[in-house]
Amino acid sequence: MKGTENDNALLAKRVKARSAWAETWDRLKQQPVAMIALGGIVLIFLIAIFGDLIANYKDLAIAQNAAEKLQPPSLRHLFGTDRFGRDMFARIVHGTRIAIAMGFVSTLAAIFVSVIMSCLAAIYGNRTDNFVMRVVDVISSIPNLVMAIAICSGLGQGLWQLVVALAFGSIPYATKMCRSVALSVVQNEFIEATRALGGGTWYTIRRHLLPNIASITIVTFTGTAAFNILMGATLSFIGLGVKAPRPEWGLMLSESMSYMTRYPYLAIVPGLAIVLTALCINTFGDYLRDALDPQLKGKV
Amino acid sequence: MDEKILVECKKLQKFFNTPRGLLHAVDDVSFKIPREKTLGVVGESGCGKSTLGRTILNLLKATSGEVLFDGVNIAGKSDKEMLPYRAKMQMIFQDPYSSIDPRMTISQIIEEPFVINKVLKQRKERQDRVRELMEIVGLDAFYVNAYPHELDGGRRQRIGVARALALNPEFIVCDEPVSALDVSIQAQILNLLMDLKDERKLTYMFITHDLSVVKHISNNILVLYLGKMVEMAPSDLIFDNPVHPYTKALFSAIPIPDIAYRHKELQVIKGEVTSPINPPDGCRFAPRCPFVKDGCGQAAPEFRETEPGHFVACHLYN
Amino acid sequence: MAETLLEIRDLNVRYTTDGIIARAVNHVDLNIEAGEIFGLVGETGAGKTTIALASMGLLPRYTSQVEGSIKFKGREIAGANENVLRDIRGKNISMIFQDPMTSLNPVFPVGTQIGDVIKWHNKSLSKAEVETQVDEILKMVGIAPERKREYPHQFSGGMKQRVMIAIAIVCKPDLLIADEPTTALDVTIQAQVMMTMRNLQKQLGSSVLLITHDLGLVAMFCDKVSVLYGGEIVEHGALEDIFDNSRSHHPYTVGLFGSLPDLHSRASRLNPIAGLMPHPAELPAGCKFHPRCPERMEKCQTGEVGASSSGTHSIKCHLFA
Repeated sequence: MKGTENDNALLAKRVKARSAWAETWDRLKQQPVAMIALGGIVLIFLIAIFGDLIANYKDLAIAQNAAEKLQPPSLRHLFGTDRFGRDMFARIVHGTRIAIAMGFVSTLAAIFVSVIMSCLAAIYGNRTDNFVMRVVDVISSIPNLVMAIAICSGLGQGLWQLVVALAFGSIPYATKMCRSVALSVVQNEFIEATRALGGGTWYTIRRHLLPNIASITIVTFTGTAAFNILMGATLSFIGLGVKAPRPEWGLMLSESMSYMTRYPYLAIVPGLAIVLTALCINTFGDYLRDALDPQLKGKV
Repeated sequence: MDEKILVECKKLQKFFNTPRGLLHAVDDVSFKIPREKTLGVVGESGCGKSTLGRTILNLLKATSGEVLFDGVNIAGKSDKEMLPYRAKMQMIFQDPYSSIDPRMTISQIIEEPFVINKVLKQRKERQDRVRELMEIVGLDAFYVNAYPHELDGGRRQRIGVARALALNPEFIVCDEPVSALDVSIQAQILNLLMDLKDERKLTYMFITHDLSVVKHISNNILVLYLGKMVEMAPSDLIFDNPVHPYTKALFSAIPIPDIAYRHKELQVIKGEVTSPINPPDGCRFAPRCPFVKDGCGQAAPEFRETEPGHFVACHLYN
Repeated sequence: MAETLLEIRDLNVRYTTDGIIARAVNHVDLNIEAGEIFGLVGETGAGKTTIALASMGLLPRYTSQVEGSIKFKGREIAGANENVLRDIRGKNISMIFQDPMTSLNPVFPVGTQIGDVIKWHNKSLSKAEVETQVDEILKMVGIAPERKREYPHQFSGGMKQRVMIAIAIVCKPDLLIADEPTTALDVTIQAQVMMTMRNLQKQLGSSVLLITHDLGLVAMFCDKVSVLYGGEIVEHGALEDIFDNSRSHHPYTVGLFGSLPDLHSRASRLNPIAGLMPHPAELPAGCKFHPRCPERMEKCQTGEVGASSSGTHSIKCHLFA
């Protein structure tokens, strides 16, 4: 069967082999919004990595300086100073590390566990699936706050304990999302075809299951990352997470509460930092999901 | 034992546990497929024909019975023990949309058998072979890096055929390979399958609900009803002289594209397929059978030879 | 001559999505008279369903453009407003869809769903009267009235399609559009459903537009046939015209028949049509069928093809022009 001339024209350009990732990147590049969001994420990471070069942590972000307290934004203090006279700009800069730890590290850990559990549940079904779902039920029956209290009282209070608590708390949602898609993917005949060709469990997971649940994984990741940044801030606020004087954005926001009417920048700056970070992650996640799907090629 | 028999089933059973009881998907099925011949397996939805195909390939574990492939019983072998056989027995699936991974390019799909079985280690070799296979099944080479959704159902089904052929199998289970396709495309794929059979000396088990499709490709035809064998005979024999009331009903229910048959009323059998869960003793077709008599509901009819090569399970012929 | 129910003149339907224009239906003329069963034959993408939806005024408003006229008993449907359409739908034209599994609401008993339709169209009926009518209509389609309290999931595919037929004929429509009504069903169940439909058609005297890809069903049930390819009617005639081997036919019709495995012949190879149905967004110039046509000529590649007709039979092909 020969293709029509039309097919020829459409597909001729595809004769050269290209990797799926290169194609994804090509599709992504055409989306200005996705590029802006990606730029934002890269910027946050750069700030986190080179934070010490931008502003000295001890001197500007932590040391109190009563002489310069509650200064409005100026050239000297780009975002002004707080009630202890600490430079808000330096605190925001150093806050990115905490945000990344809370948002990315905890979510990455949670997603890793969730994806493995989902794949095994989908492939083996029945008892494995039941076991995974019961584990998830048990975790999700504990309210996040109670779990955070338990983890903090067990491991002590601090950033890494908070990350563990956040990761643990994200597992149920992430597993439910990934598992439901994984279950529908294994219904497909190509999974059976792989078995008929002699493909083993790990091969099937790696070659078929993971690529097909990639988009839901990414969307879950970005959604959870944004949520965990907010959740971390909340936990810090009620004294379960990061402790003052560490420059955690949520903590900064809650500290600014009583000054909000007179010194609005104290709330606006960390608030914007949280919102923009969450927005960049979410937006990029949406575009990446679309770009990963070859069926949406040229339609995004 | 007969040298020429490639696949043989002996009293094959496959039951599923369901919350409502034991589902008899395949119940006591025995047959032989000689080399380079095709067995057509016909039945309506729920008759267990797809389960039968999968049980023979040991993709589903048989509840009891034997599947002899080239004289070796493969029923009950573990996935690992099956590996040497996987290359020899392949499957073509019904749904050209769900049977190929939408995230892989055509060449990745067709070369998958080589990757899994670690043959043709060089990428170049694999690519050459992929192109060769694409030519065999009639796919233009420029689709090699296309994704499945860029192709129509007919071309996708050709990909499925190419993948099944990749390891040079001897036996292929075709599970309704054309029922999801348009009429004109159906004919293309059927011709392809028939040509391949002749060129590569393949043995087929051809599963379908469409009797008109199976006639052209099969040497023998097996009719299933609710997991039970109902009738089996050489293709010509069963078409000229269907014996079992169910086979008759199946034939006469097909609308024939010829106005000479217009005034023949479609033979309507009453009722619907009953549940395969905990089926009662006796003939499973009895509740719908127009010729039902005393005793049909009590004992299951034996599968007997009524004329040479023609087997029927019906109390009318016992 | 019988009264013309549905009269379609020069119908064109285009879908626009993301700037891509798909010409789904092109210059279609169609006449359905009272009491006849009209077969519309074609493969996936030929535009069968679009014609059906256009006749019901069910095409999506913002992504489709309809040109030409669709008249039901003289009333214009193309471009009519919702009120007119609502009046026509159900009472005058109703439709049965291909997939009985998704056409019923899973959370209501089937009897309620049939009763609702009766009430919409006749608000003055009392509850008891509606119930009697539901029972009657269920009996007509061959379902025991006791089953009306059951939910759709308790029905098999064939039974659900009967329920759909019951809903469609509740208001005794003049025209019933059946879009591949039995494609999802097994052959023995298909036979049951088709016989039910034919008997009802005789009882009620309605017309049926049977949309199908199955030439067997057409031969069994239809009076007139139009063969659709690439959104155009390439051949039209009375059943006897189309199924008469001694006459000349459009090469596509010939190919369609050649593709069918014949139960009564012993030929081992089929004669399929080469190539594929073009996507409605990429229809070729000239005759839509020429890239696949074994008889194509120079002039097929450009320009419009006129229809040539003799009696009730007309063919749109340069071979016969």
